[in-house]
Amino acid sequence: MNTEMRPGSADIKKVIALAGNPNCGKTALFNALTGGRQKVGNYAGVTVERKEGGLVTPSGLKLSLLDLPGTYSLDARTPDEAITRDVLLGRVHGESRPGALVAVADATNLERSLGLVLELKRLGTPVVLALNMMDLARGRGLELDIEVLSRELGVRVVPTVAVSGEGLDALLDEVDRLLGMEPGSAQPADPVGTGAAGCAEGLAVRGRFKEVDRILNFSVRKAIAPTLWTDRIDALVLHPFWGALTLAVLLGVMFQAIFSWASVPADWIEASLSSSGAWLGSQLPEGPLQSLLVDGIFAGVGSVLVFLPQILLLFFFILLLEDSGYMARAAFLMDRIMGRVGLHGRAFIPLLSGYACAIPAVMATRTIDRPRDRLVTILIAPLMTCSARLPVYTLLISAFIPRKAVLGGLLNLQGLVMFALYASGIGIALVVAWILNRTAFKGDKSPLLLELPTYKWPNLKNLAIGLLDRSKIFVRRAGTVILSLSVLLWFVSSYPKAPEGAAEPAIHYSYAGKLGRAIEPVLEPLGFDWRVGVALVPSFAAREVMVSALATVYAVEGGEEEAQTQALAGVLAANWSLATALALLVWYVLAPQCISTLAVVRRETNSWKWPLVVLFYLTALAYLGAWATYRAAVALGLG
Amino acid sequence: MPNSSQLEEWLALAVVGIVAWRVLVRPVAFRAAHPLSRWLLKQGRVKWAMRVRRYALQGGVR
Repeated sequence: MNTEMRPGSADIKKVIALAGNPNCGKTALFNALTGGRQKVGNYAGVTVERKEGGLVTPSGLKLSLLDLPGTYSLDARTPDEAITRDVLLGRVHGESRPGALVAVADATNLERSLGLVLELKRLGTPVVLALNMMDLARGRGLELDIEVLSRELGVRVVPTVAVSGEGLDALLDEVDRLLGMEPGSAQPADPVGTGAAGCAEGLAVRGRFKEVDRILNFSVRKAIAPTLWTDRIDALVLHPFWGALTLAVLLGVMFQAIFSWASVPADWIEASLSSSGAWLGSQLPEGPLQSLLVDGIFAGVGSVLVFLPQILLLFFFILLLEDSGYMARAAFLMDRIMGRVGLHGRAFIPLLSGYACAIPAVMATRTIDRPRDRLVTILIAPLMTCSARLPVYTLLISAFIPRKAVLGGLLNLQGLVMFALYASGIGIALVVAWILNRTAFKGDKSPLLLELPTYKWPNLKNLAIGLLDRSKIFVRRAGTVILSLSVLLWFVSSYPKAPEGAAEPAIHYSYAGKLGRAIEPVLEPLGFDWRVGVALVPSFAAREVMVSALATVYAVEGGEEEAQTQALAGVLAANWSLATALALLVWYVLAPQCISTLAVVRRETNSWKWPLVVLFYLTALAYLGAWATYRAAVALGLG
Repeated sequence: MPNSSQLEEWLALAVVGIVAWRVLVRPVAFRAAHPLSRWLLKQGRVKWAMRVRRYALQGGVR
């Protein structure tokens, strides 16, 4: 079902759009103008983010404001830029052409910003120019004649400081004035060069630069001074050694925050939900309704909310790094390493957060602008060893790997195996990325072009709005899918019920049990029997469910969690061969045993195609990996 | 008359049914309605094609 936002309000409200270069303070201006009245979605059929907000002008006009993706020119080179161009030209299906444009320019970098303003002017839509970050420009000595600039450009110019709200009233007055104007006073003159050859396009670009130079010669009274402190910080953070060290420290803090700080509120949420579930369970008589509420709905709500602290912390760091201007530097530093396997420099943050959980990792790929790079990162993110794999690894390692010292007592064999499992996750992810970039995603290998913006203090209001947006996206869109699938999984694990006086555990008689037994012939070459098959079905909801599912199948009695795990380890050691355990470990390194990740991939890519690709390629990889491991282990006499 | 445990079971299954309908059946039906309406139009069944198309539009499929 297509659930993208449509500007349904556009039928009633007029639509105006913000257009400008990346990093010109466009989103800060959007936040300042719309406050919390925003809707974030995707443009139909693509992964480009669409932000719309409501505002009221001084004359009482209710408007819908679109925050268009940043672009340097209307000669679009990326899908984001193409969306901006197409929305401005009214070519996007379901989008109305904006009635007026607010061109946003970075006052500290006019040479770069004004070229786009000249292009926007040629569209024939009324334009007002918001000269943003004027405080920074003035601070660096810029003296500008606004009247002259306005006259030479042929559009009204309003100096603004989005973060403090300076100039916003004047800007809205101008918007009022523009919307009162007769539309189409200027005719569009093929602004995107649709029929132009590359040479003519180049001439047009050079012409624009010349025109910008001419306008600035007239209007700038005193040029801006270079940012010494930005250069000084860059000398450190872009240094081959100190820069890498700074990045490593920052990533260390971030990883620590996602991995362990987030566990405190996550544990708290989990504990309060499970105690509420237990309370509810004690209030209701034992039966299907109680089971549905406690094991289906409460467990489902828990599995949604438990990810929120990680997501909020991750996006807090991402927004902080973006807002301060450091993210571009970090991407530049990482591009050399990531680029070797065809990944974008920015992919390191999603992949790093994948160690905590694949869900924030997939959501964090929004920072990667090119859809191709974003998709490759989404496809390999589930291979990073997330924290949900740990209980399964711990169980199998404690059951099968002896606790003995290796390398002259330097390392413990169990620790070494755990490290190998972590390392194989990232290793295989990089190999898959390398293969994808040479096969399915072969093609355009444009070099990383990055603008390194000046450093700025992050704005708290923008941070708060950004975090609120991410939480809404996760809870409303991914959460509903996760919760619904949890209820369905409860059904297949609970029905049909066990007959009176049944000898086997209840799951044995359920659809999940039947499915587990049905797939036994498929799992047999991996050394897995029907019990593993039965446990694999409910653990599709979340990897860690495998431990409790195995305990149910092997009828290991409950009690304290640790005692239950130890008892289960003993049972597994007695029933399984080492070859089976190793094959299951490899299965868990590779298999997409997480319904929530697939739900988030579906939401982020806006299509069922990519979660299905993830499901099939990872299952195939897991099957082959587990089969090869089992066969090799049997050949070595471990079977 | 069904007893209370049967009623409970029906209620639980109704919840599962509603969820399955909303998450699995409806999206697939909306997706399928669009090509179905085109096929019906080709067969000359204009009235039915329009009905199915209206249904597809309800789900936001264009």
